[in-house]
Order: sequence, then structure tokens, then C-alpha cells
Amino acid sequence: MRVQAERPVVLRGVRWICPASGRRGDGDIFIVDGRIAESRPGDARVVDARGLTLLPHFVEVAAHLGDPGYLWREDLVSGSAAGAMGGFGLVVATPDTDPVIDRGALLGDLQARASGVTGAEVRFAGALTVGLKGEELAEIGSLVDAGAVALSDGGQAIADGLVLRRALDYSRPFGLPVLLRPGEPLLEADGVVHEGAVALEVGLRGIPAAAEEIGVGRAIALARQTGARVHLNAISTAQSVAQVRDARQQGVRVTASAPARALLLTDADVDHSDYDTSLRLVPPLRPELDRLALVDAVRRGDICLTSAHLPLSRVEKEHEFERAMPGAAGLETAFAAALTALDGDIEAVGRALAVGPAELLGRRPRLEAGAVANLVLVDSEATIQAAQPAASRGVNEPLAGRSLRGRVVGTMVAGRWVYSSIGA
Amino acid sequence: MVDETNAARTTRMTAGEVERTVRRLAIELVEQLGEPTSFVLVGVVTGGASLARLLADEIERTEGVRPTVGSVDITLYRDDLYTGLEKPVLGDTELPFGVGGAGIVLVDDVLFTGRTVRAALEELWDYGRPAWIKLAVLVDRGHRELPISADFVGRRLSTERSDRVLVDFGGGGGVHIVSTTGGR
Amino acid sequence: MGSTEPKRTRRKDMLGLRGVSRAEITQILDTAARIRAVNRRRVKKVPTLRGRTVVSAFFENSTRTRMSFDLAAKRLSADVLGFSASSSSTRKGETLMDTARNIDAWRPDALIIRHPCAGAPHMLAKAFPWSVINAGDGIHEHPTQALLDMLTMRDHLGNLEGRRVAIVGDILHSRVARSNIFGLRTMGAQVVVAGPGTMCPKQLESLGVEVRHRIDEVVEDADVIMMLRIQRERLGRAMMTGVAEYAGLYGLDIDRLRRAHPEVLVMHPGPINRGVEMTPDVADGDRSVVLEQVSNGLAVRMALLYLLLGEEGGDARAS
Repeated sequence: MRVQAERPVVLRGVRWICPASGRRGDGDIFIVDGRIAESRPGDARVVDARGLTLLPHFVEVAAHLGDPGYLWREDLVSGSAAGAMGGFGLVVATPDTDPVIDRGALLGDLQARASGVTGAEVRFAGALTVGLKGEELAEIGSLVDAGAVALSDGGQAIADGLVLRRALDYSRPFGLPVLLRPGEPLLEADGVVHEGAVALEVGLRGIPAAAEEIGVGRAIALARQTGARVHLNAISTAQSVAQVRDARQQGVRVTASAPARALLLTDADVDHSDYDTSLRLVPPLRPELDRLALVDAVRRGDICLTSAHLPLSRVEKEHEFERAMPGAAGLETAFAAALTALDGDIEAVGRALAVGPAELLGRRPRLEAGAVANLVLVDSEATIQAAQPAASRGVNEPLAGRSLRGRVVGTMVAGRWVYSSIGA
Repeated sequence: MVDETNAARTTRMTAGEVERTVRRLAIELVEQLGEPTSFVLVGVVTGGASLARLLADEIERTEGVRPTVGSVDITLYRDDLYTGLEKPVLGDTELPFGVGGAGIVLVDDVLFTGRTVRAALEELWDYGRPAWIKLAVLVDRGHRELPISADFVGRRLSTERSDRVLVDFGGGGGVHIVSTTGGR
Repeated sequence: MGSTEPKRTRRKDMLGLRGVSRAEITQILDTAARIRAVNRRRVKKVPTLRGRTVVSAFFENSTRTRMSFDLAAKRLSADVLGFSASSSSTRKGETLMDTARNIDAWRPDALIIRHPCAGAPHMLAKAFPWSVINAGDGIHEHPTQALLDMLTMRDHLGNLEGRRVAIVGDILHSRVARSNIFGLRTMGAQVVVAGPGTMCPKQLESLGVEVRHRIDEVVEDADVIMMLRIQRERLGRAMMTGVAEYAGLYGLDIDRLRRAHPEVLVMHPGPINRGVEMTPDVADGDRSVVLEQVSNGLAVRMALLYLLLGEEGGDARAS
């Protein structure tokens, strides 16, 4: 972690919450030399933080930053800036680029370039299989040596159970979390929306919930079998939530996240929006009962949240619904989406967006003296008007135009503001 | 749309006068055109169709022979479809005779700008080539915009351009003018 | 003119029958019923849409529907531009929006579009000022087909209220079925569907229809039996067993027809797979109104063009 010399900061009168330890308080927080300090420093920049809330900054474990190959969608700089705007201090890029990040040399080059970004810290997940084709194992060892913080199937669910099992066996000794999209590709066929009443009305082919649930079941069973640490990115149904909860109770090392926007949107929104391709998503938006189950699971701390950030250009979205690339931008609105859906339960949001993902990557986000100052300052009472992204290049923000609760005021990485809207 | 809140309604022909005029027109038709079998009456939907039937009834009463009656709906032939009017409902065009070579008396209740007659002529031509067409109207209210005149006229009425002329062939009928310029 | 006249249509497009009111459907059917007189005259042309431009863009093969729309526009004296883009255009990299922008440069008044993707006509209708008529979008809707079906039913049955219409076949993937379901329910008819479990799942009940299995379960109390074409080209993997089994369980033959009402109407959107959905004697028998459907199709399309392209219809930039 970079701990650099910056002028000390005092956050005056802030309400702070540490979801990992359950502690909270009101008062002044001191940041000196990149860490939270015990006592008030002299010569500090004082930030009037009354009415604001301090949390560990959010962590995104799977964002699509289009470098290499899709730079018109996003690059490391714009992705880092978008993350910082959204309160994320760390963004891990998915390996579904062109070429795929399946070699250590490529990951190393990217990481070297990423060290120059000035927003959120950018790290990389390495591909599990060559070209993300689900057939041959990628050079996982070299990816780890080059600095990979996770391994991933890049959203291309590995259809072959034997290959998946071997990938989990091979990667387990390296100790990195494995990000898997829970799905059953053959069963998903050419579905584009949730298979249900809405699909019947709008005449689009459906993806059965069973496809995700089979994928979840398979991942859990293999995690149990191999002892690997599996993270399901992302789940969307009540049944998936139940399976994950049961597995964790049995001690299986499985975690899961849901897309923040899935806490607000349902398949009915596809209907009401008249085939708006910003709602063409994987996993698809589900019905209300599933949405409620996701909200409940976040509240209970059973799952964490992801921005599921996949920025796309106008050209890629200006298509017939089933031909549009699935995905939506989300780094800049994930916090507000989550806080709105959870009715202002900021501690649960902090657990889901900051602590869960950070611990998945082996970090210990704590608000306590001596801890690295990786923080986000938010106004949990403010109302924002969600819009198309400001920092991200993507033009596919499905929440654009909605009033949401919660505004990111400042994001701090190792004591340095990487985003600030208050001139700090 | 003309504001008719201060409109005045004047009766220009009573039901009795209409009846007498219809009888006179029927006599004129037979007098000038000859046998009722030598011509057909084609009424322009909807006002002209009623008048055509009345004329046929009258001719049958006096001559004992009823001329063939048809109707022509000009909705699809109007030249004013694109000027903001309510989209009219299509009526029926029924021409139970061979149009080619026929002598046709086109019948309408009111002759105004002449555009309705133009449309009716165009439509009849799409059915065949008549031998001749003459025009019979109950009321000629002036303000012609095309070189069209009627061969048989019931009554000439002077009107303002913005007046509306209502013709009622029913029992308590008559010809009424709704005028927004103070009435005459 | 009395107060019973329907109001002017404010509609810009005809994208589907879902959400179209009973009054509007009635207006379209009434207009079609009258306008078909033009098709029986010597001069089968009226000058109503003279000078208007209608572009037809068919991204899926169809000779009949295409010809029907083209003829409808021509009989109303509109200029017609036929545009047949198979998927090769999209392979060349031109997106639908690109194609539409090119078409827009000609300032059309209406576009008739058939496309393999649901929502394609909606995308264009949102983006451009001209009228869009959906001639079939994927498995979603085919509104003019349902309108001509309902006109045919109305001709024989009078009111559609309370009538029982059976639709048999691959309901799940049929835009004809979907539009008919929406339209018929709006007009107060009852719809019952039947077909193999892969094509006619119980979940269809959420559309407000009764779901049965074999055709035997629906023939006896139906006023109309509508058979759908089994489109092998559209079927995915493992959707049906064999043609013989299909015909045996879900096909309409003369024995089943005899168990139906003596006045039952047999309908089919065409083209018929004789021997699969229907035996030849049923297809060509006296209960079959398939040819009436075709001629009503022309009338319905003429009526729709007439109602859409008027004062507010077409390209407002032209005025």
C-alpha cells in the first residue's frame, strides 16, 4: 500500500462507522501520513464534515475497464476516475479484454501503467482459462507473480465441469479468490430477459432462473469439494441467495455479490422502458420477489454488492434489444442505488460495498487508529439526480433520470483525496 | 375552428318549403331529361343521398317509374384530408348500375365551394366512363372556388363564408343557417 | 355528423395490439370493412395518399405480407419503396439505426418493417418522426395479422364479445398468437391455447388465456380454431418429437373438425404445412376461411395506412 507524505487532514464533526468491527462514533478524525491518527495534528487541512458520514472506501472486485482492446468504452484513467467519483478507492479490472489478460507479462504491463492513475487504485484479475474459452488453464502462476489480486472467468461461465474443477484445484494454493459467473450456458441459450410473465408480454426469449441456480449449486459443490475460495459474481435470485446462505452456514468458502442496480430495478422495468438497451443485462433483472430477497440479503450481511460496471458506447447500445451488448455503467451510482434501496441503512451499505469486497481481497478495512486511511466521505441525506456518467466513458447508465439518496463527497486512498467535491 | 358561442341560427326554408322545392326539382328533372329510366340519381353521402332518395320517391309518385338510385362516398377522394379535420368515417359507395355509358344526375344537398363535386366526379370516373353527368342541388350557397355550377337548383341563398348551412330532411326539418357574423 | 363518430387517431405508429383500446381496434376494423370495396371495383385505386412515400423494409423473408403491404400502399396512390435487407446487410456492419438513418434521408411518411428482433420497430418509432408499422418483430407481435384475423372472425360471427377462440401450435414463439391474444382479449373474446409442453407452457396463463394440451381438448367448444404454422426453421433444439406425433396430437383433421361446431371457422396465418397442422381436406374444406384472411389482410393494411397517414401522420418536417 502506498503511504505517502501528504498534509494532515482533520475531518471535523463527522459521523464515522466501521462496519467490520461494528464500532461507530461522532467527532473528529485525524489523518496523518496516510493513516488514521490518534491525536490532533498541527498544521492540518480542516474539513467541515458535520452532517457527513465516514466509511472505509468502497472496493469493486469486478469492473470492466476496456484496456486493452476496448478503449472507447473505458481506459484505466477514466475507470479510475469513475471509481473515485463513486466512492471506490480500489477497482479490480476483469480480464475480459482483447487480448484477454491470461498471461503474466500482459498483466504486469497493465499494472505498471495503472500505477500512474490518480483516482481509485486499479488492480487486475487474471483469467482462469486461456482466452476465457473455458478449455485450457491459463498461466495462473505467472499471473499471480505479475500482481493479480484475483482470478476470474470474466463473465464467461465455464461450461465444462471438469475444467472448472481443475481450475479451482490449480489455483487454490495461490490463495487468491476465484470470481465465477454462476450460469449454465446451454440452458441460457439465446435468452435475454428473465423467463417469466414479462418475457411473455414483451416477446423476448427468457433466461430461466434455474440456469443461475444450477451454476450457483455447481460452484458451491466444487468449492466444497476442492476447498477453493469462490466468489459468485453476480447472483440475482432469491433461490441463489438461499443456496449461498446455506452453504456458508456449512462452512463452505463461498461468497456472492449482487449488482447494486438489481436492488432497485426489476424485469418490469424492461417493459416500461420500451426495450431500453441499458436494461439489457447479465444477470437479467428479475421480478420483485427476487429484488426484495436481494435487499434483505444485503441488510443481513449475507451478500455484498458490486457496481457490475460495464461501460459501453452509444454504438454498442444503439441496437435491437437482443443484439445489444449486455451491461451497464455503474461505478458512479452504485452507492446511491444501494442506499436508496436500503432506505438509508448506511452500515449495511458499508458492509456490502466496502468491507465484504475488501476482505475478499485479503484486506482489513478498519476505522481505527493506525489503520491506513482508505476512506469515503458521504452525505447520506442528500438527494442526487442520477445521470449518464461524468467520469466514465460509458453512456449506458440505466438509473439515469432517477432521484436517488446518497452522495459521495470525497474518496481518500492512503490519506490522499482521489476525489473530492468540497475542495478538500 | 370558428367560435360559435355567439352564433345566431336563422331558418331560411321551412320544412314545408323544402318539400315543395323537392317536388319542383323532381318535375324539372323529368321535364328536361325525359323518361326516369334514362338517368340515374347518385347522391353524395350523406346529405345528397337523402335528397336523391326523396327525389326518386317523388318521381315514382308522379310518373309511376322509379329511377335507379346510388350513392357515392367521397372521403377517400377529398382534397382537404390534410388540413386538420377530424378523420372522417368512411361511408358506402354503392352504384347498382353500369357507370359506363350511363346518364348520371349527381345529387347533393348544398353546393358551396365545389370541391365535393370535384371529388365525386373523380370517383365516378374510377368506376367507368359515364355518358353525361348533371348536377342537382337543394341549396346553392355561393362562394365557389372551382368552375362548377349546378344544372338544377332548388334555392339560391346568400351566405357568409363562415356560415354553416344545416339541411334537415326529417319531419321537423328545413334549411337553417348558423351565422357567427350577426346573422341575416 | 353525429357524436358517435370515433375521434381522430392520435396514433403515430402501429407497433402492436397490446394496449390498443377496443374503440381503436373497432375503428380500424370498421374502416377496413368499408375500404375493401375499393378492391372489388374496376379501378382498384383511390387518390387518398397521393404524394406520400411508404418504405417497406423486410429483414426477414416474406413474399406474401410484403406484397400485401406494397399493394395496400399502391392502391391508396402512395409511392412505395421496397427495401429487402437480409441479414447480409448487418454482416456488412450496417446497424439497423444506420439503415434507418439512410431511409430517413428520403423523408418517408411511413416505414413498414419486419425484423427478427423484438423491439426493433419500437426503437425506430422512438427515434424518427415517420409512422412505423410493425409487420412482425421477432416472436413479439404482428398486429396487422391479428387485425385481419379479427376482421374475418367478425364478418362471420358478428360481435367478438364472449366468443371462444382456440389457438393451437407453438404459442410461445408465435407473434401471430401473441397479437391475437392481446387483440381478442381487448375485444372481449376468450382465448384458449393448446400445443406441446415445450411450445405451450402453463406460464402462458399470465397472458390471460386458458392453457390446454391436446387439440382434442379445445375443438368442441370453439367458435374459431386458429392453427399456427410449425416453423421448423425457428425451432431450437429438442422442441418437438416428429411430424407424425405432432399431427397426431395437435393437428386438425376431418374427424376432429366434425366434433367442432358446425359453423366453426378454421383459420391459419399461412403458408399451411398440409399434413402437419392441418390435413389437406381441412385446409381446403368449407370451414376454412384462409383466403378471406388474405384479402382482409390487404383491406386492413389499407385501412391502417389511411388512418395513420393523415394530418398528423407521416413526416411533419415536410409541411
